[in-house]
Amino acid sequence: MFHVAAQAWDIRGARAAGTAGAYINRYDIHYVDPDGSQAGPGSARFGGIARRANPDLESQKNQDPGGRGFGRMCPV
Amino acid sequence: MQKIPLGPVRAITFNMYGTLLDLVTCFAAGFDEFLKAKGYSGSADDVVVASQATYLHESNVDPLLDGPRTPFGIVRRVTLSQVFYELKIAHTMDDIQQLVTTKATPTLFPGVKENLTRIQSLGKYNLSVLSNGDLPSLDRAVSGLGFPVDRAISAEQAGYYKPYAGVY
Repeated sequence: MFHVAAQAWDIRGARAAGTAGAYINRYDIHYVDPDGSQAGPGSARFGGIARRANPDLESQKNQDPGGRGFGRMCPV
Repeated sequence: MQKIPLGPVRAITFNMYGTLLDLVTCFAAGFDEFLKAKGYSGSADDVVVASQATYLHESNVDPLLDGPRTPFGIVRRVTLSQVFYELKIAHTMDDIQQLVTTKATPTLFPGVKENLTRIQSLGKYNLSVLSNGDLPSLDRAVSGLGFPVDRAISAEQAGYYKPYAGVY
C-alpha cells in the first residue's frame, strides 16, 4: 500500500503502520520526520504517480511545471 | 530526485482534506467575509492553514483521554472556535456552523480528477480516499465531487483519527 498526503503527520502515521508514503507539498511546508527523513521541495509532483504508473505518460512530465496544480510530491 | 517505488504497490490511498480538496479555496472566501465583518485584518488563507494544526491537536485528544472518538463535525467546529479564540475573534457557534456549511465551496486542486482517472484506467491499483472525515459526509463528498476511486475509507471505521496507526 502507498499513502499520499499533504500533511507530514499523516505520512508519519502511514509509515509507522508499515505503509510507504508520498508527501505532497501543497503549502510550501517542508517535510521533516524525527527519524531524519526529509522530503524537500521539487522532488516530484502529484502527476508523477500517474506517469510512474504508466510509462506512456512519461512524455507529459513537463506539463505541470509549477507544481501547484498537483503539488510537489516526495517519497519518504 | 528520488523515484517513487510503485512496482510492488497494489493499493494507493489518498488523504482528502488539504491533499485532494483545496481547503484554502474551499473556505477562504467565506472566512474572508466573516473575518472582515469581525474587524480582523489578517489573511483568511493563513487562518485556514493555521486551523489545520489546531485540528491535529483536537482530533487526538480522545486517545489521550482513552475516550471514544468525537465525531469529525464536532472536532472541526471546536477547532475553529479555538482558533478564533486564540486570534481574539468574537464568534458564536452559529457563525461556525455557517462557515463550515453554507460558506464553504468544495474545490479540488487542479488536475486531481485527471490524474486519478489516469491511474485508475491502468487497472493495476485499488484507489481509495482515506480520510478522517466521518463516513456519511465522506461518501457524499466523494460521490458529489465525482472522484474516480474504488472506495472511501473513513478513520471512523477504526474508531480513531489519523495518524493513529490502526487507521492505516
